[in-house]
Parts: sequence; C-alpha cells; structure tokens
Amino acid sequence: MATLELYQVCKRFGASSALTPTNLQVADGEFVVLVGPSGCGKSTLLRMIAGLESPSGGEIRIGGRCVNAQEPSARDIAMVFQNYALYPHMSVRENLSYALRLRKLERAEIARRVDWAADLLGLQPLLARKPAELSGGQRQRVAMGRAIVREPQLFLFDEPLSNLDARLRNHMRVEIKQLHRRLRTTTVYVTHDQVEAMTLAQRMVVMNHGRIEQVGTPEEVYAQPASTFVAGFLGAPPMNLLAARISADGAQVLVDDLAPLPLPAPQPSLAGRAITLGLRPEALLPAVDGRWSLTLNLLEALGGELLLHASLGRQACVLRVATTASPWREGDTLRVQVASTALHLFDAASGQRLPS
Amino acid sequence: MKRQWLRRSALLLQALLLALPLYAALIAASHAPGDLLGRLPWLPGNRLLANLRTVLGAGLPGSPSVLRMLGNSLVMALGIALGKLMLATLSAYAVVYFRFPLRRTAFVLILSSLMLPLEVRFYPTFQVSAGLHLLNSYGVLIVPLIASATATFLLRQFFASMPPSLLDAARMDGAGPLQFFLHSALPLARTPLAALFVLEFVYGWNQYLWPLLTTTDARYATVVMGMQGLINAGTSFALPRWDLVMTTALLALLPPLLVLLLAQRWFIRGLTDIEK
Repeated sequence: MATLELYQVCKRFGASSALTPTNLQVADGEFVVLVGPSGCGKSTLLRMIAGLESPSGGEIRIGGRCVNAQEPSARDIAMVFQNYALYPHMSVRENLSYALRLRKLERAEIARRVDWAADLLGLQPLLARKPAELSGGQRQRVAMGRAIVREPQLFLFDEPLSNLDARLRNHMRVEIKQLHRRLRTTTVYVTHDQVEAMTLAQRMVVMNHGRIEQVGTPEEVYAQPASTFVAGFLGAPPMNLLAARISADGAQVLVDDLAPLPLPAPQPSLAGRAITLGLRPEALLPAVDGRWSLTLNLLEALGGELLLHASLGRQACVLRVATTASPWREGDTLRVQVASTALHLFDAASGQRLPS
Repeated sequence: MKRQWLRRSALLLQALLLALPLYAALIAASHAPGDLLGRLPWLPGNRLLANLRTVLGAGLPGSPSVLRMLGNSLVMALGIALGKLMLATLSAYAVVYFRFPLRRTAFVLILSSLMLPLEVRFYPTFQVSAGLHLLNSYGVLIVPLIASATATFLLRQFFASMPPSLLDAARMDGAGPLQFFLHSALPLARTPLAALFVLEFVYGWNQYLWPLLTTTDARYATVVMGMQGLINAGTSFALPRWDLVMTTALLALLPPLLVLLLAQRWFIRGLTDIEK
C-alpha cells in the first residue's frame, strides 16, 4: 500500500491539451474516484498513473518515489480495464497467475495467491474455464482477481462496470466496495457514472475539459458544488440551474418576476450581479403557502418518489417529491417553498461558486 | 422449388466438370498401358495398387525417383509455408505494435508488393540467387519465395483487430514485447495462421516455373515440375506409360489435399471470422 502524488502532471497530444497541469494527493488506503464526462481527461490521467501513457510534464510519485521513467510492471500497481482485457486463450487460473509466472514466483506461492484471490471473489468453480465461457459479471471478477493476486500498492480501475447491465452493475459496485474494505489498498477509480462516484468514493475528483473542477468527499461535492458544471453533473436529476439576479441591496435573489428569495445573509459585494441560482430538485418543497407558484408540465412516477417537471416563471425546473401517489395532475399550478439555506449561487459568466 | 432444382443442377454440372479430369487420371492409373492405347476405358481397372508399387519403387526409367520428388516437394512446400508464416507474423506484429519511423511506409511497401506477380521478379531474384551460389539447393527453392504480402496483410488485420487493452494488460502484468508475442499474439493468431498455412502450403507445392529455372540437378526435382520430365520419359517408350504418369499425378495431388482436409475446420474459421 502506498500514497500517490501528482505534481503538475499534464498531457498534450500535438497542439491540443488533454490534461492541464494537475496536482492530486491520494492518501495511503484511500479510495479516490475520478469522475467526469467522456473526454474530460480522467482516463488519460489514469493511464499516465499506470504508465501506459507518459506525461508531457510533471511528476508522478507512488509511495514517495518518482515513477515517471518506470515501466508499468515496475510500478507495483494493478489495473482493471473496461473491457476486462482477459487473455482469451488462457483459463481463469492462467489469467490470474500470468503476472506472477512472469515474475518467476515460486509455484507454491503462485498457487497460494491464486487460491486466495479465487476464494475471495468466488472464482474457485471457474478456475478451469476460458473467459469466453464466463458471464459478464464473472469476467469482471476475474479481472479484479488478476489485479489482486499481485498484491499491488495501488489499484487502478478504468470504468470497470460500464459493460455490465444495470442490475449487475449495482451488485459489482457493492463487491468492489467490500473488496476495498477488506484489502485497504489505495485505489484510483475512473467512471463517468455519478452514482458509482458518489457511492464508492471516499474522495471524488470531478473533472471537465482536462482539468479538475473540484476535489472533495461525495458529501462536500454534493452539498457545495464548486461550479455549475459540478452542480449539473452530480445528482439525478441534476440540480436546477436558473438564470437570476441579486437585488440592489444584496439581500435577495430575483428569478424572472417571481417573488424575491431572501439570502441567508446579505451579500453586499454581489449586489445587482447576474448569477446562476442552483436549486436541488428536493429543495423545492410543495407547500400551500409557498412563495413561488409553478406550472406542472409532466409527472414521472418512480414508485417511491415522484419527479415533477415544471415551469418556474419562464424557466424549466424539476422537483423531486417523496410520495407514492400524486395529488397533482399535469397542467396544475403548484405553490412551492424554498429554504434559504438550499440556495447555491454561481457566477453567471464563469460558473464558479459564489459565497451565499 | 424449380429454382432450387436449377441451382442444384448447375452445381452438379460444375462439380462434374471439375471431377472429370480427376476421374480420367484415376482410370488411366488403374489400367495396364495396353488398355489405354488410343482410348480411355469408362470404368477403373484393377492395376492401381500395382502401378503405385511400380512408381514408388522403381519409378520411371530415365527420370528421378518419384519418392524423392515427392520428398523434395514436401521440403519445399513446408519450407515456404513455415517460412512465410514466420516472416509474415513477425512483420505484421512489428507493423501493428511498434512505433518506428516510416512504419506506414513500410506497410504500404509490403502491401504494394501484393500487386506484383511472382514472375515479375524472377529475373532479378534468379540473378541474386546465382550470385549467392544458391542454385541447385533447397535454399533456392524456399528462401526467395518466403516473403508474403498476403500473409503479412491478413495477419496485420488480425493483430489490429485485437483489443488494445490486451496489450495494456500484458504490459501491466510485466510482459515484454517478445513475451506478449509468444504468450498472447501468437496463440491468439492460431486460426488465421492455420488458414494461411494451408494456402501457402498449396502455393509452395504447386510452384512450377521457379524450381524449373533454378534447379537443373535431378536431385532437387520437385514432383510438379518433374511431371513434365515424366511425360517425356513415359511417352518415349513404344508403349506409352500413361498409367504410370497418371499414378504419379494422383500422388502429387495427395499431400495438398491431405493438408486441406486436416486443417479444413481451422481453414474456414480462419478466413471467415478473423475476430476470435
């Protein structure tokens, strides 16, 4: 087990920059998730940590020692790939033991480690099979087994669940979490799925356009998104982002011609500024004496909860209400209450979070 | 229903056309030379085994032993097929997996040589072989023919179709270029390799002009080119020995057929689904 440190690591492909200089520290035993839309640089970053790509600049340290010049196999890390990348012509046992055989470990030690990993992942009955004879979930487990038999200092996961169907994905997500709980190996996990990021991460790194937007625990990132990008990326459905303005006295938020919302504390510095107002779908609470009134356009019943798509002034928004049966119908007008503590303010131009 | 009938008869006709010369050879090979004077019997005779024994034992007077020619052909065909596969696998692997200057140029050059028929380069190749004192040897039968654009191209396509993450995984596992080649690329390529082996074996076995040009010593005669000499030898008797010539022809047909039958399963798979 080891720490991972990135100092000013960047990657350019020709003239285009895939990753702007990036710093990141991962503590020993920590589970960090890199999350972002495709093309945000998260996979490039992971591949550079793995040694499959070389950085255009900066320094990568694993366990305190610089690994920039080291081959992937010398870095004492293991990686699980999106398409599993199992060797199709080798049995599960051979797949698991390949790295150990290349390292010329003793036979007894190889057998011990393979059996240990197979027990841990429930692969014992499958050891003699070829990857083609396995289901998606089983292949995924073999890919993880291949990583853990090496007893590496660092695990890297590159979108390991995106080839699985939804049900299996939930199941494997739990397995990965339990595995990390047992092994306590430092892990960097790349995904574009915000649910995976929220549930697995001890700390998450939200990336966009080749740079880090925000680093923090899932709770922090969810509660205090650093930008409109992060706000819109996390949460399903995502946060409502409304064009708004701060009143001339800096004490209220004005959305179109709706009733003004008081800020929790007046912000004279923001007085009169155009902003983006962020409201989580669950922050808009239906209430008879609510401040705002909105028109329902569409209802989506999810069983335990209800999604209400509505027009708020001239803008669209989504509400999430925990109820099984809807007392409303499409076309109804609804009054909602907004808690002043639930307001997220962002600069209208830069999208950066503003103090509120 | 009617259309199917039509299709079937067309197929049948084609098969018959293909089989007819073969049948004629079988008939000639199973009769005594006297029965073949001026006519071809309709049914096979009973002398096939006797003729085989004569051909494989004594051979035809005035020509090299048939057994020896078959052996030479086998050496040449195996040499060419294996040599081609080895060279093509290595060059395809290099073109796909290594970044080196002029990589694309190298591949385009290999590919463009696909357009040139073998016969175009006979003269310079002959000159080089003669200059290296290779004439009249197994070397000259094999080495100049083992560069294969077709095989390189097919294998390049195969390697390029393998998921790149397989290489990544092997690199993480600590496999070097040679280990990835031996442990992963080569075993995975076994179906296309088997298909190519069949193609190239038949190609090597059927070489006619090149052995004729480069070997004058009867010790290196191959059966396909030796056939010509056999016909001369066979017909120089008062009683032409078409029975023996045709028996030899049947023997010359056999090895490529055997190779095809043995590797048939892989052959079809290797040419149709290059994926797995």
